[in-house]
Amino acid sequence: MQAAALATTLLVLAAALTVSWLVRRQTSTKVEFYLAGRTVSAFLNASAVCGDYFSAASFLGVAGAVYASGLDGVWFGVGFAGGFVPLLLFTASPLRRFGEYTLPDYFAARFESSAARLVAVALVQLIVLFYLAPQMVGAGTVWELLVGEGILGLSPYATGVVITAVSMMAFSTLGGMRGMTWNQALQFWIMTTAMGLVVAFALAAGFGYARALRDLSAGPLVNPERWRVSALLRPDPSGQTPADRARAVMSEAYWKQHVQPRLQDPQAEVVVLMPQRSKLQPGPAVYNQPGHLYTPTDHASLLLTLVLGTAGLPHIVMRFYTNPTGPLARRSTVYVVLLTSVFYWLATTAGIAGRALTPQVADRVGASLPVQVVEGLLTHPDQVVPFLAQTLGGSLLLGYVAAGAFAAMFSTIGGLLLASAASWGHDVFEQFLRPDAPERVRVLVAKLALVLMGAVAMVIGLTFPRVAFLRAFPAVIALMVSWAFAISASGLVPVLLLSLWWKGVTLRGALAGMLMGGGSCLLLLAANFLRVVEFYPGWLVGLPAGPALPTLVSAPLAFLAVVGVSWLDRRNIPPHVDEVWLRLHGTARERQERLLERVVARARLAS
Amino acid sequence: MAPGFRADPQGRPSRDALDSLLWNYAEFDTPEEVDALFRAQRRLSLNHALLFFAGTLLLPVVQAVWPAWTTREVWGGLTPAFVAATVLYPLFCIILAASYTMRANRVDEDFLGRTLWREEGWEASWSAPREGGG
Repeated sequence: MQAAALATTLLVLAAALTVSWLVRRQTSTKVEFYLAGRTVSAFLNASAVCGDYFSAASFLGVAGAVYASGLDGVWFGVGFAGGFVPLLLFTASPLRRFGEYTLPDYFAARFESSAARLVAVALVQLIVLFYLAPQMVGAGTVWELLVGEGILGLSPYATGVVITAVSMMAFSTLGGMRGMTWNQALQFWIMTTAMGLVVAFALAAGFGYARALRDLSAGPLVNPERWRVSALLRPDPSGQTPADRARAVMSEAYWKQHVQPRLQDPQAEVVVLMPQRSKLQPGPAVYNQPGHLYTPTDHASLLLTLVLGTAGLPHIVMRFYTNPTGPLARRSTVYVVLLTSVFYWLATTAGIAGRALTPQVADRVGASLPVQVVEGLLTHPDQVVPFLAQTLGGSLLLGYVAAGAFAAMFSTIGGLLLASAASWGHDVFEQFLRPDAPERVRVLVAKLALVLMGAVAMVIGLTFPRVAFLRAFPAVIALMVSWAFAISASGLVPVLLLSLWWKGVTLRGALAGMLMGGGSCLLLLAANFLRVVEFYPGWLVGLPAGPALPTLVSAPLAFLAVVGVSWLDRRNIPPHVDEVWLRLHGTARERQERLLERVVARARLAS
Repeated sequence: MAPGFRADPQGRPSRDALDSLLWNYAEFDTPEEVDALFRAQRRLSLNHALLFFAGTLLLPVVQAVWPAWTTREVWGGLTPAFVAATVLYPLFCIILAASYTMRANRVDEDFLGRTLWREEGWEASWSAPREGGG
């Protein structure tokens, strides 16, 4: 067990609960509970947005992707950071000025339609579930890796899931959005300083960025792969077996000691190094060149998914409602672009440093950190940041990195639970079940919804078939998060962008866009998933294999559906669209708010 | 009397009438002004979006058509593609975001910001608020 990891994780939890306890009295009204009274400053909100945004996929996954794939892995971080630019250009300010609580709220008011609200609620909940499931799996997996102990008879994995879910329920219901804001900001800075320290220790250990890249790119890219012996020894048409390819890049000593003895059992599994093929040209992939992960189509699809998807993530959009004004929402986003760029640069550097330093420091890893190293390479690339922390900085740095990893999951899960609760409490309960409910009941329902969604998250984490998923999708956390981005980019963002900037969007156009984008995205995701797990029903056989992420197809379909149906339906442009425009693009309301603040402040001074 | 505006039977402002005045009538935008602002903002956003997407798509395109972009090492193992992905593209995004925000905030201020008391002929009156305020 890592005592330091356990201690720092408990410290982060204690800090979160303390912050929530201190602000607990500021959650008595709905606008306080959901939106921190719309008084969050630009820099604090930017830090909180980053905390909300950086999940386990960012903290562990980006460095892991760079470790395993080099340049192609860099694009994950680049896409995550670039995603805030379209959000800044098109949605941050008008949505804040509109001044509601949730994305479905906006759609309902823009089109005066309960149907638009309900379809948006369904999409929001779908995105939250796709985002939440991998976070819970990540929480269990990270606890298993870094703490390694269970409580009350639970396995270490289940302990991680339960502790995370219960903590999230406690601090989110107690502190609401105000507590969440301070917690997410604090957790973002823990993550960033942890990543910065890992990079600093790597530099102190002699890591040189350009030199390491040159050395790593001198030969073909090789990665550890787990193979069943029967498959490893099966010859291809040229008569060569995968074992021959592996042996060509592995040392004779390692092969004889660790692989050869297991080759007698065809059902046994062995981990071997395998040269990676380039998807862009015949021949091997090279670390500092593209082609390991993406074809040009996959590359474009990934970028489009990450760049468009950010603008429709419910927990991120909700954070922009907490800024006092539209200009401050814009300024927050600029800070976010800056902070995300710095963070992903650090994560990228940690990935390269890990790849370069693993062979030198592998023997320093203690038995308490269960990582597997094959010929100087980690079998699980996602472990590179904790591995570097342990081997370069000892258990203290590992403890701080563990705190960063849990901070990443706590902040994202908290944001997701609050966004989901707002959708159930505000969009369903208040609009359809009890529109006349008093404020006290509304806040109570919001807290109940949050606890229920926390329980759902816990059940998902505990029942998720992670072993089967990890076998089919080695980077399941990053993959499922990118599925959530794809649904957002296809189902919500096209309608959101067009309806914010084109008066001609009608209710039917919006519904068609959400259903076409969301539906086609889900269908293509399901087809890809079934293809990978080799359960492919006959009715899907005719479909060509698309890119790994369907956004390249589903997002344009959604844009076309909105434009086409709205044009056909052009006689039904909502009559109140000019009033909506005054709220979206006018500044009178925020000028009045500022004026009122001044009057109140002066009155307080006078009294 | 406009909704939200309360006065006592003598026509004097009630306790929250000042708030009501500030919220509903003191600052306003007309639909025409907002429409002009919206068009200017849309133009600004689209121009920056065009730059952003061109910059984003340029990287895979250059990669596909210019082999030296991904193979020529300019410093250690750093290729132009690697420098672009890790340093230049994030810098491009930061500069674009900052430039857009400064311009967009300036456009807001240039187009809107009228207040009732600056309007010619306006007199403070609790009973006859101006119609059509934003």
